[in-house]
Parts: sequence; structure tokens; C-alpha cells
Amino acid sequence: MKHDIVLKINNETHRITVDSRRTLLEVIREEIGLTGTKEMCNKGDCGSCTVLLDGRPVLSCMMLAVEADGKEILTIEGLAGEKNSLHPIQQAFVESGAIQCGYCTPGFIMSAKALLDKNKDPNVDEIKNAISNHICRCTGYVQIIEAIGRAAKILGGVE
Amino acid sequence: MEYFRRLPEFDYLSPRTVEEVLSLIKTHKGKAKLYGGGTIVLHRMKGRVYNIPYLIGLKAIDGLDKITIDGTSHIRIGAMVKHGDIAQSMDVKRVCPLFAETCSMLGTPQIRNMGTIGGNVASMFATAETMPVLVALGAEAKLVSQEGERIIPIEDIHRNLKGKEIITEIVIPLPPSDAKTGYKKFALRERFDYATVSAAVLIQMDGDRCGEIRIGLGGVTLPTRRPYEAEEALKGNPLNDEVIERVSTLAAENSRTGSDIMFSADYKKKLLKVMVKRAILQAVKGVA
Ligand SMILES: Cc1cc2nc3c(=O)[nH]c(=O)nc-3n(C[C@H](O)[C@H](O)[C@H](O)COP(=O)(O)OP(=O)(O)OC[C@H]3O[C@@H](n4cnc5c(N)ncnc54)[C@H](O)[C@@H]3O)c2cc1C
Ligand code: FES
Ligand code: FES
Repeated sequence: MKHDIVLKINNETHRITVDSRRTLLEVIREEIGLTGTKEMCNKGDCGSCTVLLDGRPVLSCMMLAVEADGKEILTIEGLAGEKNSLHPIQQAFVESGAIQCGYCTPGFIMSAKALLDKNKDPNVDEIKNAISNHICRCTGYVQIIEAIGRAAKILGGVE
Repeated sequence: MEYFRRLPEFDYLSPRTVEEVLSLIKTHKGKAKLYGGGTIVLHRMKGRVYNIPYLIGLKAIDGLDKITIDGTSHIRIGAMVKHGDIAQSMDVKRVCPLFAETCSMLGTPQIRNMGTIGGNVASMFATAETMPVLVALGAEAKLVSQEGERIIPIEDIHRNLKGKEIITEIVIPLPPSDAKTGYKKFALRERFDYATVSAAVLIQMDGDRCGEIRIGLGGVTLPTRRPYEAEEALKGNPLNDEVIERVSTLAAENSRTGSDIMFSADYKKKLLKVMVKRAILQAVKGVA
């Protein structure tokens, strides 16, 4: 079954026709062509496909594109500033050594963004809670937690 | 289990009213499944556990995503309310903090932003994490079919919910102001993992003895979710160490658990006994 839907992705409106069975992840990557959002487990366990839907983190592999009709979606591509300058969270990930292969990074950063939008100065427990749906097989999490703390400081103008 | 990255073919239907849902269920009898947040349904579709031609999405229905407080008597939570919305609701935090906390401890931020209370209750998972607390609080589910509406105690949902019915809301009586409550869950990783076993209690004292008591268990087979014998053993007795020991032993022994990839059924019972004990202690003494 086909559905005509409107997706507002990173402030751009896309009018597309999707089949019922297409996940939001497939549509973002394959129809819209934004491949920053990653697919790994495809079953809800790893968090690498996380995007913000109306400001809240969701797993785009566990959701149908048709369910996102009319919603605002933010992906990792929507974070960079002018001339592709890094967003402070991205900058903090680089500076803290929180990236190795980088495959998990977009997902972690979207969850960090959702956290820092609501909570300007999270403690370690709040950071761990925010990234509890994410798996990283390279860095060991310590640097990721550090990076999110650092991003909070950069965003707060402390660093 | 074989698992496919792509979903099989199906039609996603998006009715706007409960009446439309019921007529779609009838039209596609045996070939349709209700779709709340979809976190369980999509998993099963990708695993080809279900191969269903029609999914009936409940997102577009007005009113199923509301939380309302009914005077001083009940909280009504629409079936499509997400766990995260319950956890953050000022109303639920005020009148029933135990339930708000339970939802804030379930799964992960993403799951709480996607999964609904209706889907959690209807899943019939032994580990569905809202259930123990709903049982202890004496919650009821409103089931609607073309024949009409009925309200059933939440612990009996597995014997009642029929394919032609939809859960429209969960109704929780407001705990009396003197009620004491406790909830303990055991999960390998406290964040993310399903609770292997869990226990919730609501106790009303009658002087220095236990008056009303309800216990809800998680991680056990559905018919053993509410340990009536253990409740009886507590009623009319003082809440001393000996009684609490007897009650938690009874609750664990009379429940049924299954082995899984991590734990044997026996070990789960041992854990369950500890959870029941701790939940009671939390309720009566406020200790963790
Ligand atoms: C990675 C991951 C982690 C998870 N962690 C947890 C956890 O820690 N604890 C936990 O309890 N659960 C967990 N879950 C399971 C699940 O996300 C939750 O139980 C959630 O609440 C299910 O709700 P849903 O709306 O997504 O259900 P759906 O998938 O939409 O539906 C589940 C079932 O209920 C039926 N249904 C849905 N709504 C209704 C209704 N209104 N009336 C009648 N039937 C209905 C559907 O037909 C289906 O059979 C997890 C899932 C994933 C993928
Ligand atoms: S790809 Fe979506 S959670 Fe792993
Ligand atoms: S950096 Fe490689 S998985 Fe996280």
C-alpha cells in the first residue's frame, strides 16, 4: 500500500510516496539520501539509527516511515553549522577521542543532543541514562561520557 | 530465530476512531494486528513470527493518548500514552509517583518515546514492566469490541483480551493517602535490560497490623502474577521479619518462572523472593 507523506527533515520539507513496509531508517537513507544515520542491528538494540522526532530520540529502524508523516525529524546532517563547521557536540566528541571507527557516533550524538536540549548540565548518571540504548564496540564509553560532559560546557559557554 | 532486515509486505491502515478500528478488525478477521508503538510488532514482523497482511495503526485516533485524573478517585491513561509521557506527567508524579517512576525505569529513552502502555499490557510478556505495579495498584483495563465495553482487573488480562477487542485505557484507582508502596526490579544492567524478575506491593496498615495488601510479580507466568496466598499470609499480621520472610518465600514458591539464556528458573525464584522482601521493606520502612 502506498502513502503520500510529508517529512520535515533538518528543516527541509520532503513530499514523498512510501510503501507501508518501509522503515523510517530505510527512507532517510535510501529515498532522501541522508546516509549519516546508520543501520546496525536493525532490531532496537544498538541505537545507531537514532534520530530526533519532534525533538525526542527514537529508533528509526523500529518505526515505519508512514508513522512519521507530518513530523519534524533531525538527523546528524542537520547539526553541522555554516560551511559544515562542527556542532559543539561533534567537536567535543573529536576532542575527547570519543570516536574510533565512527559507526556508532551519529546515534550517540543525537541522543546527546536530545539530552543537552533539556538539561544544560547533566551529571554522569543522567548522561549514562541518555545513552543507555547505544552500543559502541570501539571506545569503551568512558570518552563518550566525557565528550557529552565537555559538550555541555562548550554549549554553556564555560569552555 | 531467523531475522530479516526488511519487512514483509503489508498494508498499514490508519483509522481515526475506535469504531473504525473495530470494523477493520471485523473486515480483516484473523489477518490484522493492532499496532501501537510498534516496537514489538515490527520485531516480530522482521523475525517472520508474524506474517500479517494488515497492521491497524492506532496513532491517528483522538483521545487515546491522554492522561486524565478523575476527581479524587482514578487516573485514566489512554492505551497510546508512551512510557516517557507517563514518567514525565506532573499529574501522575503527584498522585501516583510509584507508577511514574516505574515508567521512567523501563527500557531506554528511545523505547520510552516509542512504546505505549497499551502495547506493554497487551504484549502478554512475562517481563512487561508496567504490569507488577499495575497489579499492585489494583488497575483495570477497559476493553472495547463491537459488542460493547468491559472493564477487567489488569491481572486477568491474559484470560480476557480477545482478538476482536482493543484496550482503550488503563484505569488506576488513586492509592489511598495512607497506602505504602514499593517496587523492586532485578535487571542485569539496570538501564536497558528487561527486568528478569520484579515485585511491587501496596500495603495499608490497620493499626500495627497489615490490612489491605496487593502484590504484583514480574518475570513469572501470567496466571501467577498475583500471589494471592502470600497476600493472605500477610493480612492481619504484624510486619515483622518473620512474617516478611514467610510471605516472600510463599510468593516465590507459588509462582512459575521459566529458564532463559541467562538464568535458570530456580535461580529466578531465588531472586524473586529477594525482590518481594525488598519491595515490602521499601514500602514499610522506606528503605531500598
Ligand atoms: C530494544 C528494546 C528494549 C525493550 N525494553 C523493554 C523493557 O525494558 N521493558 C519492557 O517492559 N518492554 C521493553 N521492550 C518491549 C516494548 O518496547 C514495550 O513493551 C512497549 O511498551 C510495547 O508497546 P508498543 O506500543 O510498542 O507495542 P506494539 O508493538 O505496538 O504492540 C504489542 C502487542 O500489543 C498489541 N496491542 C498494541 N496496542 C494495543 C491496544 N491498544 N489494544 C490491544 N492490543 C494492542 C499489538 O497487536 C501487539 O500484539 C523493549 C523493546 C525493544 C525493541
Ligand atoms: S539499527 Fe536501529 S537500534 Fe540498531
Ligand atoms: S566508535 Fe566504533 S562502534 Fe563506536
